Amino acid sequence: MDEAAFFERIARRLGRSAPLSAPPARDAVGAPEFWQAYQLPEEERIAKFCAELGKLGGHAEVFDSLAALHEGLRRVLRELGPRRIGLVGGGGLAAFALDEVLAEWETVVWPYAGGGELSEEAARAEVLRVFAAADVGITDCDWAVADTGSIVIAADSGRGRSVSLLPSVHIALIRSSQIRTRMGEVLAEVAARRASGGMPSGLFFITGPSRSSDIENDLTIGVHGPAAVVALVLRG
Amino acid sequence: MSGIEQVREVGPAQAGAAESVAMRPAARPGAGGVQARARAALQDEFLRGAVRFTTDRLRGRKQAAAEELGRWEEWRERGRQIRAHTVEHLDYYLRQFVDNLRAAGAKVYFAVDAHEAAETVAGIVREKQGRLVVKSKSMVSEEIHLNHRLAEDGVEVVETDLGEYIIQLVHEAPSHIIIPAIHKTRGQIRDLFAAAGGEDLSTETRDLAAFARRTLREKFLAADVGLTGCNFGIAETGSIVLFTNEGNGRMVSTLPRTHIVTMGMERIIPAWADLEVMANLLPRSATGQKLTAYMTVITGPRRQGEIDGPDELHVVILDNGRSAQLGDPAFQPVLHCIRCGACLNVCPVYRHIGGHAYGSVYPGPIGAVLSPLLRDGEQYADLPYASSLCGACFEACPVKIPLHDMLVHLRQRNVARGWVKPAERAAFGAFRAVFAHLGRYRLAMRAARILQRPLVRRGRMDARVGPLRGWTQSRSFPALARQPFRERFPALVAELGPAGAAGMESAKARPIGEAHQQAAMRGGQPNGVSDPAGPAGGEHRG
Amino acid sequence: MRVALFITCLVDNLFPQVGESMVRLLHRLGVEVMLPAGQTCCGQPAFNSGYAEEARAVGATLLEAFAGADYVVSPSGSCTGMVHHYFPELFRGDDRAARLADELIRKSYEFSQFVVRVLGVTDVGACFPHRVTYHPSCHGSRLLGVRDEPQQLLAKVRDIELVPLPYAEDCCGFGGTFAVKMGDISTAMVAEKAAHVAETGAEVLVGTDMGCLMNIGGRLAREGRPVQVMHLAELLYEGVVLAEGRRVG
Ligand code: SF4
Repeated sequence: MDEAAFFERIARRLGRSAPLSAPPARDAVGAPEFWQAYQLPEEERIAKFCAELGKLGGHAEVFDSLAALHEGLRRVLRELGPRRIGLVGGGGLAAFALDEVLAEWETVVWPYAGGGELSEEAARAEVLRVFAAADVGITDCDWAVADTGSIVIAADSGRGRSVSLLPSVHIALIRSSQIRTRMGEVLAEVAARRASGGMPSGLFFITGPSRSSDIENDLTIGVHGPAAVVALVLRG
Repeated sequence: MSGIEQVREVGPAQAGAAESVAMRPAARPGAGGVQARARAALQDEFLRGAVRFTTDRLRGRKQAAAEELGRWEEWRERGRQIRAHTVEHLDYYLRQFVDNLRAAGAKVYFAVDAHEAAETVAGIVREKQGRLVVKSKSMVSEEIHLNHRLAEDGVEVVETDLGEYIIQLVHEAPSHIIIPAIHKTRGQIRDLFAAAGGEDLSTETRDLAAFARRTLREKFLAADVGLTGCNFGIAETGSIVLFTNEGNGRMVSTLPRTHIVTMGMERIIPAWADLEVMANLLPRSATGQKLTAYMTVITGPRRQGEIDGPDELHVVILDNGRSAQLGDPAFQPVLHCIRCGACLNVCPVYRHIGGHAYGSVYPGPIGAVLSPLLRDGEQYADLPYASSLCGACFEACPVKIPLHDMLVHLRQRNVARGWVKPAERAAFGAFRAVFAHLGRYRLAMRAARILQRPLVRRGRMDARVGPLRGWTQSRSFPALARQPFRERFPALVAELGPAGAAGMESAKARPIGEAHQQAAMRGGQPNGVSDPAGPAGGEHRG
Repeated sequence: MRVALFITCLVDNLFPQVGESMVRLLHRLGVEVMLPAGQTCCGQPAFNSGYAEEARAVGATLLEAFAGADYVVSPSGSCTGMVHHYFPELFRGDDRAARLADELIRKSYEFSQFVVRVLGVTDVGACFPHRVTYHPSCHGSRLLGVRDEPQQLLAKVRDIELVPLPYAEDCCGFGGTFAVKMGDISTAMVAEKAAHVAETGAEVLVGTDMGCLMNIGGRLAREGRPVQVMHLAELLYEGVVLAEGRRVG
């Protein structure tokens, strides 16, 4: 349908001769005030995040040093025994210096450029197949939310959306400074990027493993997305 | 042309299903009015049990989740304010949303009705030479009967939400907004999956889900086009928000090269800050979760350098009867709905008859209001009567939509438009003639007391004939008292004397022995069987 | 204090003993009631079926009848709820009627509300040695905002054994003309409600709305279940008489 007519119809029904062009005044924006004032101190924030993720069947652990985190990651991976691990490439994860820990396993790093002389289309399909075949996906994150136990990841070129989605297990490495009390804090920080034109093409709040209750209301885990979510939190 | 009615027209895909044994009578579309469909559903014991079981769990969980959050009423009120403000200024916010969508690289289309929307999507799929379309749950796609339209072009459409996948295999329509296959047993699901290629399955949920995961994973990777709905569109950035639990929404919006969104034009919130409110209200109201496993916010197609994510994002914005509600004080708030399904879960009618008995895409209280509004005509005019007006829907609604009032107003509209039976109109004409005038009222009641005599047995009426048979087929109806209260009142007042001398009154008022006697009789005698000639007179007293 | 009784058409014609219990109980609490003659019905049956014109003509009888009263008390949360919730829109546009409706809303109460909120009484001095369960009517609680007043009154009754009704807040399927028009659905609802009542093992089902009670009672009777159905005012008054008798005896 004609776009102008579509809008004119709306305006007319709302009693205006032309569509409103000035922003209307608002008296109630976002969460109720009492909620916006909700702030947990850092230690409680970390504890809350771990507890909430735990309630959803996820697993969270806190480490005081990078070495301890490495140890923890090794332990988790040995327990899982993955055939192949997919990793996001780029800044955030590199700082966790995982090379040594991961030496025991076969790894693929996003963006996977194997496969030689492929068309762009075929290369993309190949990457997706490779990551779909990985047992574990390891990512960093941009934020975490204590209140809901969520891991928040923004899409960017170094980070495939698929790494946290296709493998059966998602392991996220988090710095405790990334944990916010409420979702609203994260939303505000993302919205603030708008001015700089830096809105991510995709922003993913991941809250526990994939699940469904569609079969006789019986909760089942890992329907399409990962069946297990592990958060390893590094203090600092 | 609205597509709502097409859902009830049995298309080619459904024609086969109509013969299949798996199709329950209640699920057959278009079988008479809501009364007839309800009757069929009520005879289906399994269906009723399943719906009750699930809705009980959902409302229990919702209650717990609301309590856990705290100050639920303040959240609800904030939710209402945000939705009301947006809809009241929809011309502004939709414009902003669309401009920002385009700035982020999306293509935007406008569809005035279901037909146009389905054609638009079909056109995009054709242009992209799409053969395989994967879809995550979207009520709007049901509303525009999209699968049927794409099937006409030979396009394979695969529903990837587990519940939707199940009902697609049996060629049915969803019977619940949130839990589409609420009416299917695991045994039935196993049989369906077996027929779809998973021969050696048990009825364990885990095995069934694993089969769906394997099968659908291949589809996700092979699909040309991904189709989703949109839970919220954020105006300030042109972002699309999806809430899903299984992860299929993420798959569908990540893996295929083309992502098509269909959305109702009212699905907007002004700002990111408002998303926090919706994120706190929607999952809690829908499934009793604090938050769904995935909340995905998409702003445009993939960027330069990103490998996954769609190359193209197409957004089809649908009117289909929505704009007609704007400016109507009685019905505009129906556009505040966030499609959480909470009103279904608490609705005693829905809980008994299930979703298909409504015969429309949107079932339950919201369906009984929305369907006749979106498709203005007699087709859904009987849905607003499928409610006892108990108000549970309003109480449950996270954005406080007064559904019970709207149901009454829709009935008024039916009366105004002459969509009622002449006998009913005559009956209420008579009601007015009698009840608006005291003299006639007294006379009529006197006449009724005489006329009822042949029908009264032991203080009640059980004859299953006449206008009350809808009642008397299953219940006794009390007889009119021999002497109405207003005729007894003068004697009562005379007996009691001025208030304040209370101590004396009870002994005078009623012999003490009588109360004892009555109490002693209780339990020994079935309820309500009294001599209508006695002072108590009514059916319900011992 | 001029307290008028809004008797409601249902209680007037079908359950006069409920009105009588109310009057006697209020009298004991020091309240003399009048019964303005002109009242017939709030118009709800017509209104809920979509006949606003007809409802207005009938509901208007209340406006005139209660114009002189300080308080208006009814034995029905549904009928008082109709006044509170829908009279403003019903009489919009007619200044005098709208003013009277507004006054009526401000001074009208359902029975238990009146006793607890206006009279400030929760213990009426009753004794009722029976197993009792309570059904809160939807319109009373959701349209009118009756909260726990009935429970407060019941809680103070001596020797009563109160048992909670499972799924108490679920509608019984009455819904006025709904019960006739959608008889099958209504039947399924009332059958479920009756089953829940039976489950409690209560001897008495008590409520504050005769519409619901005659629906549930009618079903219980048809099923031959030995549960007696009583309006709260009846139970309290009977309990008061019983308590009195015990004291005297
Ligand atoms: S009407 Fe309210 S309760 Fe029902 S689906 Fe919409 S938002 Fe949810």
